[in-house]
Amino acid sequence: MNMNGRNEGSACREFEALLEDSLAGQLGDAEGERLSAHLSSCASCRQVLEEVRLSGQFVRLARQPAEDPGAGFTRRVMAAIQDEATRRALAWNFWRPIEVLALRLSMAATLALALLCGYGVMHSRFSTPAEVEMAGRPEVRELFPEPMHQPTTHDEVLMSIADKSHGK
Amino acid sequence: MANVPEHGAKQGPLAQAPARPRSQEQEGDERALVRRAQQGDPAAFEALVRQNQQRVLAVVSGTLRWREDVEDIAQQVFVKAYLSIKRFDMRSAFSTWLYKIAVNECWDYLRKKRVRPLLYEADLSEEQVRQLDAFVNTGRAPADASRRAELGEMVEQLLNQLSDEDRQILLLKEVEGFSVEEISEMLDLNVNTVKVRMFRARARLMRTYRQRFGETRRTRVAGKRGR
Repeated sequence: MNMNGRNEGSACREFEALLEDSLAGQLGDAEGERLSAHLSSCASCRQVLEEVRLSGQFVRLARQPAEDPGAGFTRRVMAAIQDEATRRALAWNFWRPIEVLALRLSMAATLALALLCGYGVMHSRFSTPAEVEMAGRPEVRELFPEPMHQPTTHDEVLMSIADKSHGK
Repeated sequence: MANVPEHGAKQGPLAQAPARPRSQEQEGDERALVRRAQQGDPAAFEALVRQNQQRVLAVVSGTLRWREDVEDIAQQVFVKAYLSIKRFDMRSAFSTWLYKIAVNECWDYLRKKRVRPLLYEADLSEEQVRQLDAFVNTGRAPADASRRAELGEMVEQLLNQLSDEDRQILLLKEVEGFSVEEISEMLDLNVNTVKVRMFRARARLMRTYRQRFGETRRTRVAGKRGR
């Protein structure tokens, strides 16, 4: 690549869009003058422009523009759309009852789970005064003793060691 | 501005398809048809198909080479458009939206098919080389249709040396007559980018021609001298 920002045998990058406009005959006056000034001093751009001048006709040697395919094509398109819509409707009719059943089952399962959770929450702790009073009875306390008090001071630690060594 | 040539020769067998500017009235009609089609009126969609089928075919032809596939892909474009027309928000012209679907459908098809064209090994008669040279130097195509078809096949092989995107841009502009602005919209590219890529594609095409057929000619001359 040289200092003008182009590869050898190519046009200057800065002027490529203008060169394309010039081929299409779409240059404004100011742009045309700017391009002409550049072309008068740039042999490479002149050469590339000359080379590509007939490229449009060259391409049109190979391809012809697409022609209107006519009413037959329109009919085929509408028939294909009808087929696709029918296919989708059939698929919908097949899957829809299964979808509805699956939806109902999932709603029933959600409801059952919610009821189960509610029942569990209600019975996981004492909630009535009778249940609290029952928990305070001596026979219940014997069955479910209070947890051991943990020593917190130096003296309590010594006392607990002494208790353990005397087999209390 | 003697150095700046005008793009000429738009008449005759090598004429470019004319670009069709759209009036406001046409756009208004199109919007009304789109609204009716969105409400499920098949007759309105059929009218939209009729209005746009030639241009959609042009977009597909500009991208795919195989003529037999072009109509199938164009048909698929309209089916897809019908199925998703409720999602079309009218921010662009309906035709632009259709062209974008067409471009995407073509690329999907090419990705699935993925057949690279065979590289061209030139085996031209001297007469063919002379005719192609005469055309490039003077712009005059042979009057004989079969000769023109032969040259067209050679140019097709040269076009296959370009990238898919560059070939598409060049064909949409030069053969199908889309404007640079339309091409930039359907390919989601900046207008300036389209111009630069188009100019480079032209330069690459002609450079490939010079290299390939220059080599063919040199080889022939060397072969004759060696005998």
